[in-house]
Amino acid sequence: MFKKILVANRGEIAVRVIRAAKELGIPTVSVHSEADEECLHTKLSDQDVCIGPAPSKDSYLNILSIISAAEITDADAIHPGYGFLAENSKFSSICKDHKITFIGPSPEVIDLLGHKATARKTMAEVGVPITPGTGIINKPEEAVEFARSAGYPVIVKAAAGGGGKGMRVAWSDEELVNIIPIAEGEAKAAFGNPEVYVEKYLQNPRHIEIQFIADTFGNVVHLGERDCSIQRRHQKLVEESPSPAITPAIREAMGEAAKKGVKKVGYVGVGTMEFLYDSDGKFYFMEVNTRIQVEHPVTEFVTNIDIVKEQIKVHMGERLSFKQEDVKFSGNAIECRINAEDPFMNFMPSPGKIEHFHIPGGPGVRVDTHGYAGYEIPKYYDSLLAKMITWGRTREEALARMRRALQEFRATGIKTTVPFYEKLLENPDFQKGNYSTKFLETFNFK
Amino acid sequence: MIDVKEIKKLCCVFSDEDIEEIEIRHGKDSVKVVMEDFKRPKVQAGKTITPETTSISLPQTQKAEEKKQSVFELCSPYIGFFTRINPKTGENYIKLRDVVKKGGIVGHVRVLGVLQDLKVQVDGKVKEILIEEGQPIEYGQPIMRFEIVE
Repeated sequence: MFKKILVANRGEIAVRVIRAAKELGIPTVSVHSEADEECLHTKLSDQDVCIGPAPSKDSYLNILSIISAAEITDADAIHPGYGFLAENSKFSSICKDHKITFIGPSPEVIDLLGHKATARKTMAEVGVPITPGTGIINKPEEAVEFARSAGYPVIVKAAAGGGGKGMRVAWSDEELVNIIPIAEGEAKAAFGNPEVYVEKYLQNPRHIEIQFIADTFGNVVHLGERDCSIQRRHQKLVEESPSPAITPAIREAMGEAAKKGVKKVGYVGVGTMEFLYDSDGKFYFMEVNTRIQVEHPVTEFVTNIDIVKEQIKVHMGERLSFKQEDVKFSGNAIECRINAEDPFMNFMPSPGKIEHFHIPGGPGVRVDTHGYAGYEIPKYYDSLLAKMITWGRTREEALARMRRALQEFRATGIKTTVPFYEKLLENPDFQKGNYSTKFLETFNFK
Repeated sequence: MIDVKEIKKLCCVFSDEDIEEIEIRHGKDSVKVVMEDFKRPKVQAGKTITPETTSISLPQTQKAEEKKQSVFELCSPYIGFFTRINPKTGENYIKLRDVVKKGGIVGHVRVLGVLQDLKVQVDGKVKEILIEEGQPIEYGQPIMRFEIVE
């Protein structure tokens, strides 16, 4: 049992972790910047420590300050949440040096999977399907040779990348040769590593990810898929499980592929293996996110498993409390990420004071948020305000509940993306589950 | 019943001293006078304070105000454990009413076993030490207050 968990994050995910720890009877420490003194996570934890000024680099990304906060509060575990230091192997390693359990995979595993090109190679070795592609590009000619044999379009990706940074599509030899140095520059700026590789570009894929969890005894279980194809500029907006496009056979194949890959690298903890699912029914490995995901509640709804509590328990050295055959999927769940942004102004962030705040309830509705009436949303951080998740026995029921919940949600004083979701839910293609990662490129919201 | 004139007299006597609070007890009655920043004494409720008591003001404190006293608060730039012991001498760097020069070390924060210096950014007289020896401190937490010396 951990003595105390320090939550090295803010906002809704910090609140989520604190709740899980409380249910396990473990005291918590929250950390906050000077701008976040009134953020809900600081109110719900047993202790809180101010770790620096408002900018993330001086507070939530400041490893020394976070480790110091763990020392003065005698915390023996750190939960990194998502974002910030969650996939930082150096942080994981420093935690280890200070005899603090990092609630996430080992630094070696984070490094291996964080380097996209190495991860692809590793997954291919155990038979996880990967999109046809190259290794690290040393000369543009290598990329051209591959692109000609695989056929255009191709995509240039940062080896150390993620989140769409350093990614560029090429439709011809000339374009490919021109964009490689640009992608290398972007990769260097974003990740400090200019290495890029090239893959066959799937034009209308779905983004399907498998949630998995592994303990220290070598047990790995997958918890089914989430369809995260509704994205704006590579940022997910809607996630649902099960995917409207996936058959039980594909789910099984994806789940088994994820488990094989995870076992191969000796993964411990929760994570997500992301795949591209092509219209011809084939799936290809994309990457592994070595942390809890924003959208994990979708899976919690359909499996009735508390993923964060299980995560904490496996890092305390406990065995998984269930086996693969115990995992039963029930109904449909869908999540809308409500951001403090103005959807009518190109999703411009809308920080400010929330005057009135009402969270919807009723059957099949869950809202994870750090918002409350009187809370002032700082301008420094991600604009995610609330995750609204609904469950139904059928997809139609889950969608009907989402429509109802969106109508009930109130947050005055700021702008939110609720009107965007209301419109999205009216779209016939979305209602039929007929969408790909390109859906929002043609979706006319206004 | 506590006599307000007596309180005024007492406050006058101590107004030039580094005394923060005066508490007077008389039978069941009590009154606490807080000498905040040498400006205007704030009276905190005892049991039977008359309205008159709350409006007392002291000429000496006004005089003090004329001296243009201002206060510098030293806040922690670190997260760790506070100490004001000089590791070389084993003595405290400072004590109340000491006058320190700008840039002088007045203590340390032990951050993951390493002593980080706490330097004062003004010439000043130590007015308050807010953190006890060895106590944990967070970023931005006030540690000491100094009267700025011209």
